[in-house]
Amino acid sequence: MTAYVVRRLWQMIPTLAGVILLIFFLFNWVGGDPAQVLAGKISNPEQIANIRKQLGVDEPYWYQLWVFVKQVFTFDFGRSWSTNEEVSRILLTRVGPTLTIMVPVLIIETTLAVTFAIMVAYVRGTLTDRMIMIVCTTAMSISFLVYIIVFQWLFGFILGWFPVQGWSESFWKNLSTYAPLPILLAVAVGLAPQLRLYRSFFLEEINQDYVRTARAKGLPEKKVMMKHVLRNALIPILTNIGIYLPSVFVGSFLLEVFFSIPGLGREIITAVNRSDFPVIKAVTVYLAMLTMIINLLVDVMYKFVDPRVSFK
Amino acid sequence: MRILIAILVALSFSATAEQKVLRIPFLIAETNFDPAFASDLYSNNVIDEILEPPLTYDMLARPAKLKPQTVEAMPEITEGGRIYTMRVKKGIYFSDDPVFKGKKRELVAQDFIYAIQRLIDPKMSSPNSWMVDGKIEGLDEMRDKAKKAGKLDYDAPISGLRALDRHTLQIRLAKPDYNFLYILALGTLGAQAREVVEHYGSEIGGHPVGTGAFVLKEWKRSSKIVLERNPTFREEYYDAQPAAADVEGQKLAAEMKGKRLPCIDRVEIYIIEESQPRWLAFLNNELDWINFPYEFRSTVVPDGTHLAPWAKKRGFKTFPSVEAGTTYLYYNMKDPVWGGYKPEQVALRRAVGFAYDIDEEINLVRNGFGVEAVTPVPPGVLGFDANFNLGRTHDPAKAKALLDMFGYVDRDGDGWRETPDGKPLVFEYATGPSQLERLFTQLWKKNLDTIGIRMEVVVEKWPDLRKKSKLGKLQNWHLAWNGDFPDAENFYQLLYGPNCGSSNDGCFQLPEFDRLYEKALAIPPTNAEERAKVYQQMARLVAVYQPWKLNVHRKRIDFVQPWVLGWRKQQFLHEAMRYADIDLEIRAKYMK
Repeated sequence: MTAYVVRRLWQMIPTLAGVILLIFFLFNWVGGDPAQVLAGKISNPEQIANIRKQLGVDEPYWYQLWVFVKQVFTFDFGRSWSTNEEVSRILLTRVGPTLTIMVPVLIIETTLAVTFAIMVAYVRGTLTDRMIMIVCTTAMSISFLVYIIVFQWLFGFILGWFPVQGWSESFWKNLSTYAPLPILLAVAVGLAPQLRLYRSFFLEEINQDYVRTARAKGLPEKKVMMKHVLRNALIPILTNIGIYLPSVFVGSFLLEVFFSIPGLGREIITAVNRSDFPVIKAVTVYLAMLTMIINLLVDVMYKFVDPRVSFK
Repeated sequence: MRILIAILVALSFSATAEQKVLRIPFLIAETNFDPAFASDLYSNNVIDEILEPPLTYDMLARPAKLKPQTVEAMPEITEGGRIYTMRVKKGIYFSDDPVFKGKKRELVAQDFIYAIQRLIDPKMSSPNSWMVDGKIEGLDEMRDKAKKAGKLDYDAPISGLRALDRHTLQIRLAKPDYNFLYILALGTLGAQAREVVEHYGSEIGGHPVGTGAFVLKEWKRSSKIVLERNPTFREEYYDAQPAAADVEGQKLAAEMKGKRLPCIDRVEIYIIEESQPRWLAFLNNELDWINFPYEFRSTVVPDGTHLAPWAKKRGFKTFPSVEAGTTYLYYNMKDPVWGGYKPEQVALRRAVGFAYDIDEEINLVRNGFGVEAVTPVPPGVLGFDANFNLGRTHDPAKAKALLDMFGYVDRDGDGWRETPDGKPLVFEYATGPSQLERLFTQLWKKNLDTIGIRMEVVVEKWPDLRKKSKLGKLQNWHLAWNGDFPDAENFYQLLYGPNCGSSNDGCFQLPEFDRLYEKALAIPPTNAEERAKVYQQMARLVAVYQPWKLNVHRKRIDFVQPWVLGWRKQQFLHEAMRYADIDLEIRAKYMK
């Protein structure tokens, strides 16, 4: 296993290099000139040139790329161009609120989706199954924005069960007061597609010969479903969670904006609008690294879920 | 014994007294509270409450009127508007900070000089340097020297900036400019203690220390900003002088008369970017005032003026106003077809002006929140002329007739007009990708189709458009300008010839206009009438040559909770939180 992990870690280097090149060229070709944003309402060419010099964007491309590579390996992306705040501090302070929302969403959504999916798969073809699938399809057809507007108005304003928006310094106050409505929303929106997907994973397994054999042997249904079907369906479920996991660290831009949550998703959009390259660089590179590490962890976990998997 | 009991009672009362907390929203996240660094409106709203420039505005006077803030009297202006001399009030202290090591730090003239010097420090690349660029004698030379040396020498003397003594500040301008008074009222020129700035270095944006009514207590970036009453704030009382005919202003002045400032103990500012949560939070009594989001107009202000019965019952106070700003589309005057000063070029711009349906923009795109702009100068600004009348501004038939008259006709029968020399006539509309900009694009396309002018759309991000605009590579661009001070100069500088390449994006260069601009600057503020006359002549030149297609002055309605006293929007004082008060009894009644 060690050799496998080391090999995978080595493979990350060319991937990371690709990410660095892609971000760099996208910013320089597609991104706007940050000096124009920072110059204020009245500027002249001399001022623009001075700002470009200060930011280092007047240097040759090869030099700017070298600085970028150094920043990646020293984990020092300097300061935000638009707020002058240290990029590392931006990331550290914004990731907390994002995780406060997204971790409960991941846990609740996965638990509910797996539970309902196995139940629905078990009663496949019945009226219950069909009704749930219709509800899921309808729920998936509605825009996330509509959910947010309606939930915020209904639960936050009309019923007054939750605050309309806000965030505090206290983790527990956030979790108990400000986070429940965004979490409820994210779960309500994410549950339907997950349920449908997981149901198909379970149906795939239920139709396998080993399930028929288990039943023929006279194993109780509970054991068949929970021990055999669930365990085998866990591999695609794990893959799906692995794909979803990096987004947990980025958060939902819409949720963060509508509920005034000072998270990373909102910060990324602000940085893009302000052409704040240091923040964009840092978030993208760390997200790429995170995705690669999570993929590796998921691959390693396959071995524990399914002993037939071997590291080659 | 009695004294002891009295002290104990007073202490227990103060411990239990409910704080007056004002809660307001910002629509866009702040950036930084260093006045030399921040150029966005919201950061400046906070800076204005913490740092103090020499002058400020009377909260209720309309039109806006300057008054002394940290100086004893209005500056003495001599040499025909070149020398400004002012005495800094004695006994004003900076708020406590560890840098002062427990000692009181008095405000002195040098603190204003230091704040101005920071704006031209090449290391700062300040977006606010335009406020002093080319204005103060010796300052540009100092910056050039600093660029060469790689460092600004803050100790070097500047002929135009002198502290005659500890409390006397003298500013000598490079040329006469009576409007420099308004620059002295901008928060960016708020006094800063050099030792504080040097101590915090690059972190100064998070540690603003000033002499203002509030101090920064808590800052959760892009989320929440908390200001608290500055305990060392000088003894100052509410003093506003609304016009006698201003009934609303008189009422507000009566509410606040004789109150010591600031009346509130704490300000909580929440960054709420979306209009729905902002409006719902206001309705939930979580916010004390709000710039009404016009998406909700049909349910709240159905006729655009009067509140719906349910909103009336809530006791909201409403303050409708026209913003001191103008939206417009400029033409690149160097463009061979759309620019220029020849009759056929002017006729083409006028025809497009006639084709554009401004009522549709106001009613459909802006939901009624705008008034047609007929000159670049908005109401409430010196130079605005309510009687300036252009007649009917939307007249497609007249537009077609003008185009026909000057030879812009369809020669090849494809349905689109060509230029008099037979080349394709294309209106390249530059715009961004937002929803609002898409609506404008559709409106322009519809209007130009009506008169047979082909429109092509150039969609790019704002920084790219700005870059192209500055390089003169756009045919036109839709822009907005919010006034920094209540004088038409602030608007007409956007059309002043020598500003081509900086603020004059369209490069309008008309010697007659430039001459009038310079003439206006040399007229003292005491002779406002004469200056206004010059501005009216400039307005006529803009109407004749049409370097801009003027759009609107945006309207706003400020909604204020019934328990907030004394406050209404002052266009040039930003939020002016220090002038508001809260009636805790009324609030408690509404909160039940």
